[in-house]
Amino acid sequence: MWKTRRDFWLFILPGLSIYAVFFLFPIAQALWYSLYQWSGFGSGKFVGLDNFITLLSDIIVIISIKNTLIFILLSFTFMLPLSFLLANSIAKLSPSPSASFYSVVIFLPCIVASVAVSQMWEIILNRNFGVITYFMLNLFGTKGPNWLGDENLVMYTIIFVNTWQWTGLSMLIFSAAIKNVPKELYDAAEIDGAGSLQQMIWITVPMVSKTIMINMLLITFGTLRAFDIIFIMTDGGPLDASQMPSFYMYLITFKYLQFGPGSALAVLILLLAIISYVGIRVIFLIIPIIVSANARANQAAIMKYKKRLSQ
Amino acid sequence: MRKIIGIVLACFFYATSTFGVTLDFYHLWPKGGPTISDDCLWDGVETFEAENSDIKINWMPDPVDQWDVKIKAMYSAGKLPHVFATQPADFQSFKDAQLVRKLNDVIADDPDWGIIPGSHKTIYNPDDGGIYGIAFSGYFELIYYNQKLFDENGLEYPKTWDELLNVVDTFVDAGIIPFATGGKDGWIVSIQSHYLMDREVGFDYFYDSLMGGKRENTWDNPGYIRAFDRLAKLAKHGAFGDNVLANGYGDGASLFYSGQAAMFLMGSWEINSAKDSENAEHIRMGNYVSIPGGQGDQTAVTRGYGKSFAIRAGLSDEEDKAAVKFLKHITSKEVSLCQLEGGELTGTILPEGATPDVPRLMIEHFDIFDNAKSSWAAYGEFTLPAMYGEWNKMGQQLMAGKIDGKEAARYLEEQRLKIHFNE
Repeated sequence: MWKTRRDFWLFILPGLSIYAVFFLFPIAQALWYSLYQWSGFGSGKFVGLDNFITLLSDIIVIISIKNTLIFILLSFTFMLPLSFLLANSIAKLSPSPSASFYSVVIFLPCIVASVAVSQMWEIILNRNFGVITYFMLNLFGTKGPNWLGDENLVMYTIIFVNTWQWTGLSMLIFSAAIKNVPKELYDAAEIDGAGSLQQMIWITVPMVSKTIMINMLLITFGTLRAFDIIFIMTDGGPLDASQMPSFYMYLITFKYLQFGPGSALAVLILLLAIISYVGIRVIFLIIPIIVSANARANQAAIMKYKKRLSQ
Repeated sequence: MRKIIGIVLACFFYATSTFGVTLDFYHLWPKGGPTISDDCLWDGVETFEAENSDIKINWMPDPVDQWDVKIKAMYSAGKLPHVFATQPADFQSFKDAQLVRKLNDVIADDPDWGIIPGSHKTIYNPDDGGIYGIAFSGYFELIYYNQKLFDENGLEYPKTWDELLNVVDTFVDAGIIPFATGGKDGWIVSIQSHYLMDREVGFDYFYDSLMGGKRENTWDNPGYIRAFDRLAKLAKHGAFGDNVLANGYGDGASLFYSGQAAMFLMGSWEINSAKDSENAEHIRMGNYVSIPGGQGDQTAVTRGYGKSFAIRAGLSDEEDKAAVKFLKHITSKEVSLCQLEGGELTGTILPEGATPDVPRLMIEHFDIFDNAKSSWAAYGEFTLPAMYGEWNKMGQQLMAGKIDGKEAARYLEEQRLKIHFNE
């Protein structure tokens, strides 16, 4: 494709330079700082892996990683199926105008800035002046759960708000994938007597499996860098119950001026992202192998059964 | 060709002579912002530009949270603006970095400037005797209270700890939040514990333990344990309401101004909002209560200068001259008068013969200050950010009833040794 090796490098040089300056260099710098104790002023002191050891014994880091796992798992459990079902339902309505209408309505929260969404929900859920408190008081005579003030509830409230905002994006990605599934497959399934549910399970899901993976990756990376929703709605509280790694990294780096541990946490987040990426890719490599092995085994069993019948 | 070159050169010289010096001015007082200093500063800049056509001011305000982070990043990168707002806690960290201009010569050269002696003590480096900033906005931290709610519940403003507990219990029984507190923002919790700690041990001990310099001034001393237990006790009595850790600063203020809460321990920067609130006529000012057996001055008031203006070191002569001129203008007696009339303390004296129209609440602030035997700067002015971060965290834990005073004190002492002595 390339005439010479030099052409190849010339073509990728602009993009590579930008990538190196704005991505690779800061990552290398964070790695470097993570080995130092440095307040941001003057020169730092080399401490080796001490920052990592301190971080791993920091209860807030543990809480933030636990919150990240809960966030990701609950998003996989609720946001992913919900967005898939919505995309599937809208695909059924397509090409009627109502399909476009529902798509726009569900996608609308995604185009609003996260800061505005977080602020809006903070006001709605406000224990003193919020709309929900108002209705609860008028209908039931009680303020109801303390959505953002109860340390056992706050993470679920945040996950709900996040799901409300980003389901539309996942749905849109699924919609694009579902549109590309050949219609003949559904026609053939219908002739074979498959109902809507069976068609969805045995045709749509396998055909959009790559998209499921992309959505899972987007949810995972989005969660690892969750910042604005935490910053606006809870500030990591109450009592650090809603701490997330990115937000805690910001706190210790820029609020407490501990650049060493802050950089070490950034490196940990990067490692978590790499592990998640590899994990999800591996899962999606293994599933088709298992499914096809299972199908081959089924096929072989059927053949064996038919052979026995014919004898 | 010569003509063209001549025209180009003429344009170039005209352009450079017209622009003169441009000064980047980074701060936290946006035009039309909530405090009176916002407007006073903007007016000051406008008049300065009108009087000095050769100096252009690049006005760069940011909200306080963003400013707090960005200015630290600027220090770290060694890329400070020409003139900028700074705060004492940051100064503790950057004073050795030699990025900021010493102002001693400028102050000595202009005795008419009117700087209040001592107003720059928090941005003073005792190691080199250098004054590195001019105070722009000062504050008191006192209790705003709603007299109407006190009257309706047959209460008087408390002067002692026991009276305070009685007031808290009575308000809780009446369904009124005793203290409007935005505990989500840890610094608000620390204002409360600051008073309790200072009252228990006295400012000298308090100051040294916060600065961290004296090893023997520990955080797990009996006085601090008692202070932390008192904070926990207040919370247990319901002094801060049932949503204290989810309420932010703004929520706390709204609870007080709307009459849902009876008291609000906050800085004098709230005067403007207080005098415009729906309960303005009922709002009064009170000092923090005295603590039985406390070693500190039981009348002491928290008062200080939070934000100052500084000039970057290493500017060219022309830029430096312009920056000094600008600094003098925005901290002039005229700007000071404007701020005081809006209810803010300043670092500069008033013009001779000025009869300022000061808000009632500001006068009440001064009355309490007159009756106090001493006044001290707030903790944020001399505590390292990492330490007050931990302190804020413990305050929240105490308010939530998760730990007792002893546990909080022990944890903070561990952190002090780690942060100040690398142990």
